[in-house]
Amino acid sequence: MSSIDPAQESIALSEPKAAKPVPPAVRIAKDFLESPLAVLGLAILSVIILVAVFAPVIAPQNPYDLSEIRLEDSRQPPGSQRLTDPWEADLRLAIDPNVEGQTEIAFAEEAPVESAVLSWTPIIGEDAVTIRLTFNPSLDGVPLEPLRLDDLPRGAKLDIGEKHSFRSFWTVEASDLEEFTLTSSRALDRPFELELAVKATEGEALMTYWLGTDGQGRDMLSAIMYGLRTSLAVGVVSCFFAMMIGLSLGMIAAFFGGRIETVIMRIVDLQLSFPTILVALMLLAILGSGVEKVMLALIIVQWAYFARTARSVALVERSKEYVEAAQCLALSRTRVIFRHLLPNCLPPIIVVATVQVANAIALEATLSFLGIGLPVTEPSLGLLISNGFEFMLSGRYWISMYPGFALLMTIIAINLVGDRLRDVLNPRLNR
Amino acid sequence: MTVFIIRRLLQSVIVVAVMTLLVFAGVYAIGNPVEILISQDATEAERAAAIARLGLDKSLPEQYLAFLGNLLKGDLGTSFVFGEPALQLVLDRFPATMELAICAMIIAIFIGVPLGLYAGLRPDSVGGRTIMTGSILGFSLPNFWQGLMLIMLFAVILQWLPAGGRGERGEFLGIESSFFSWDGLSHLILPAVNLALFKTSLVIRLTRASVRETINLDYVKFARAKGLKPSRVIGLHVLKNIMIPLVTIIGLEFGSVIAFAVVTETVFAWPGMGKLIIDSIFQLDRPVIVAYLIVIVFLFITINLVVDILYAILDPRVRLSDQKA
Repeated sequence: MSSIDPAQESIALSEPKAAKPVPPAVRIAKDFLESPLAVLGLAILSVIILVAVFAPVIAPQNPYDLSEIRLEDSRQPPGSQRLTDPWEADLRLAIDPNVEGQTEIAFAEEAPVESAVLSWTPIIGEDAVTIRLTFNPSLDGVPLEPLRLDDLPRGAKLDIGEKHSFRSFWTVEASDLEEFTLTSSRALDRPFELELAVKATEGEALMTYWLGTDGQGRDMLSAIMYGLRTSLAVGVVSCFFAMMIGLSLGMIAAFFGGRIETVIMRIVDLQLSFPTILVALMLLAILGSGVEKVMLALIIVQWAYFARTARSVALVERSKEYVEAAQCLALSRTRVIFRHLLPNCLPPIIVVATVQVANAIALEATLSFLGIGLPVTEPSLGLLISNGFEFMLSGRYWISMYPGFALLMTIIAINLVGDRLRDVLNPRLNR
Repeated sequence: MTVFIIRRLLQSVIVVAVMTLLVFAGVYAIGNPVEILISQDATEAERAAAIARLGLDKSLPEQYLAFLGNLLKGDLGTSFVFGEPALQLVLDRFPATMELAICAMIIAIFIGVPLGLYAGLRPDSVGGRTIMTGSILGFSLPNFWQGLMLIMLFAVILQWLPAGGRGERGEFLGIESSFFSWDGLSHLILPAVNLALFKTSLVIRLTRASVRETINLDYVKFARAKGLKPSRVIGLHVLKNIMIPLVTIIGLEFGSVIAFAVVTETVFAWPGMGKLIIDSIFQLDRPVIVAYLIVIVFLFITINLVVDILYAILDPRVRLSDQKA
């Protein structure tokens, strides 16, 4: 985030003396757990990492599968629900007015009713028929649009509902269908088929958008989970490579000294005198954007921090007796550097790495927000926030606020853990 | 002192050379300069003329010298989008960015120093702890997101301040600036606070650390023993001595404020250099990108140089050790 980071203030310069017979890992873990704030940070961080790793499994929807996204669900506030298409059915009621009869109508699986029973009784002496239609279970609980009854035989009319002023259908209430009479001004002797259109006013709830939806109708919660995944992956991977490069160059500088050291450290100084965001901006302005270019920029921006720390630690470690002992054993230089010096330099490097991961995530989010970071196909949290920016002025706060919270929680959790790690790994503070 | 300044000047010249070489290498050697520096819709004849004018048909070292020559003349090409000299365009936006950066620095100092002083004098009090926790939050808050939240709170919900833009500028003593008109100031507040928050946290931590270090020194104890009022001990003896590291860091951080202004300017649509570079990157207006990079490199090196010299003036130990080295 800046050219100054908290990890540089105090850096462990030597391993603690093994006074107690406790293994160092146990001691470090014990010390770490003493701070409730750090434990909280670790807990949050664990949850975040789990969410990021298992995002495809636990996310309510795959936000980048276009078939799962519905545009009409866009910009829904938090807590709104994703509904199915309203239930709709066209029933054909075949009636033979000459004899009494009964038929059963079955419904498709997703319908709120299972079946309906249609029965009719001709009224003797009149051109009329009494029709009964009962649903099982009843339609009472289902919100319905007015039912339409159509295809009446010529000259027929109903004793319920109302005919449309010029079209042929009748609008009826669902409760009236239990028993109604159809009378005709003409002879009613041939079988006819009524058409009943049933339509629910709204669909059933499929899922709840707990954090609302964005401009394309994707679930923010799922988008945040996937975004965390991208952000963490980019941060961790680029940090790892930066650490590898910085560590190697820092160790080389410390071990060989002389001209090599001068050149490496001059480059480090030059780079650290410019803020990270500026260096990244310059690189991306020249390179263009894309996942690998953003990662490259992050690596270039960060290696210098590792190199500087590695060199300062290695300088102290190099003068210690175990290195001399290893050299006296005529071990090769590479072996001394990588097998003896390197493991002893790791604790402060780990602290720098933790803080740098947080910085990398923040920097990547910033670049993505500016539109020169990750492409739209791999949206990180920064891009999500950026997408929500345009909706913010119209009061649709959730589209950029919640991804921001996720980002903030991630960075704070990492910083809390890093802060505590620094205290724990720093032998000067050891009691 | 003169030797010191000359040495630092020479170092700066070397850094400028290295940086221009890097920018040159990035733009001219990695990419295709013909595509980068000449507009896509130029005709064949225009293209040929531009290649000849820019010397793109020559070898790379010759090109670099030509690039440096043009740089010294202030000619960095013409913007495709605006049709104006790129350097002029960048420099036109410079005052807006400076205004924002200065305002942010003022806020950071006037809020950060007193809070840091308090946290340093009473490190274990509730107030001191709250300030330190708050400063961690200030470090962790992503700059751009914090800007969005400011807009939402003060512009959308409360509607106290405008959400973006620069507003009217007033004139005072021939200087045109947002400082001198109420409308301009109201536009300035949110971006400046946004930019200042991170630096405020930094100033708080720095002040606190210096105060805690200084407060136990003998001269402070002696001043107390003399029976001076606590306000005088702190206001004069302590504050004066913590100013040295503070001035240095504030000076150095000024450059980073200008760099971070890119984010703030994008969020608040502030018409400064940062907004220009982001727009130019989107529109592939490469002469402007090159001009911006050169200007910002110069700016940074100048700031570093000035701070170093100031530091040497403030703290004689620095130039003594430098002379020995």
